[in-house]
Amino acid sequence: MSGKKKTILSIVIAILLIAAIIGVGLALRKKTTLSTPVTNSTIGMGTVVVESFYCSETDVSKAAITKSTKIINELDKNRLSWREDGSDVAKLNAKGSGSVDPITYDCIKNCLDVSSKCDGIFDITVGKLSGLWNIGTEDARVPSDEEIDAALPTINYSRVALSNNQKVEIGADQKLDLGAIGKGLACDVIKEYLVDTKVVGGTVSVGGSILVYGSNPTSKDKSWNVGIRDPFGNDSDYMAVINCGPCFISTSGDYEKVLVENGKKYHHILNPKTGYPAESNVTGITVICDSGALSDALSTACFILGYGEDSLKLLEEYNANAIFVTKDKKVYITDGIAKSVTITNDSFKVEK
Amino acid sequence: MNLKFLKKSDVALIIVLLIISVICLLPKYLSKSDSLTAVILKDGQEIERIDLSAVTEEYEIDLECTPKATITVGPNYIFYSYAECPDKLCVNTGKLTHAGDTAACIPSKTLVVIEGQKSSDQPDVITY
Repeated sequence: MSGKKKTILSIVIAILLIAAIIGVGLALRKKTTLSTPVTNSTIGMGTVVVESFYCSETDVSKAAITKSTKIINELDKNRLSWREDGSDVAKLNAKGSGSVDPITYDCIKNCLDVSSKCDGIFDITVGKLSGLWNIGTEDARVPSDEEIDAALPTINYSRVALSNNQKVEIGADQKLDLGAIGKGLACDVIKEYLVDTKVVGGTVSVGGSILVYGSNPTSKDKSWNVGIRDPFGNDSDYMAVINCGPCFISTSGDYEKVLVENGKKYHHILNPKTGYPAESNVTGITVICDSGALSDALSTACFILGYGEDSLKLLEEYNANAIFVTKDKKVYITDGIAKSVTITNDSFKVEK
Repeated sequence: MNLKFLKKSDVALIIVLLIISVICLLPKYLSKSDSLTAVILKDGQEIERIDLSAVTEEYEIDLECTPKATITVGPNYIFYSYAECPDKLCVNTGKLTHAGDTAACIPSKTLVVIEGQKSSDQPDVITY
């Protein structure tokens, strides 16, 4: 055999070996858990919870799912739900004052801060009013004008007083409702837990409030794609995709929880100034920022305010970005994320 | 190409390597089949697991829960077709057809989810 032929033979064998190694590699990659997340769907906080985690150890992801679900349920039961007798909020509503868990305290403090920056268009003292409507529960109904008129004067965030030792005091006639930010707060607490685990990345959706955590092992640049629900479509339809890194995303829309009475539709986002479901130029608004509770609060406030100077100024105060979808299918995207949003449904038009 | 210079063992080695490569790549392609598995849960416990791709005729499942709810199963789809609760959120969700699609009836604590890996062009998660 000549030297030249030997060389060719070696090259051929080398190429085949490489092909074999690549083959084995691809086959194995399929099996490692870093390319397939461990996913779980469940019901928590009165809504659908979907957790999806990436980690090379399946057990770690499974443990993260168990723990996240527990965090959501405990937060609801012990801290936030006004329907759970033992929760911080239920106790405050019953007694008017008391010391609460640091998580509840900080959350109330942050909510009051948002209220002060939007002139109370977002206000956690809406408890009396939301209790009349009960939208999203089996007891939902349209209250009478008299009932609404009686509830409106009880709504005033500036009457909530915070003092040392996590003490909170509300007006004797007031009731708190942290429902607007509970899902986002759950995302915050889950994130705090995840940083101490070996979970590489993942997403948690608590009724559409999203935690985007860590890096995405299945994408080249480790980024994530979050779809924005099409307000005019079915539940699983989306009209745009946000490409993003770790963040918190929350959407408020008038299509989500709806009460139909005498042929008229009533959605669940109440305007604390009028006592009725908020009417503005937007049908859905999505907020992206670095806190879950804040993204919830801002999306609620901006939904009520609608697209305009006031909502844009509020978002700026918190360094948050947003995508507004109006009732006539126009889309307004704030500058900070304009390049990361792709419209996937042609019937929506981006306005500059 | 003149193959005279190849020894028998060389040819055998090449063939073996080729076969190994093909076998290793097979699972990657096989796993791309369109199997869709729906799981029905109540109180967080799995009560039914259905291979939707194997369903040929539509049928109904009456869930044992309060308020009552009915699920309709068909070829590659599943949905809440009836619910006794007032808001009908689960019925309004419509047909579930893709991996990751979820519908829930909160009052009856039941939930339907389609398992499996999302295709790469789908978003990781949807905000609503």
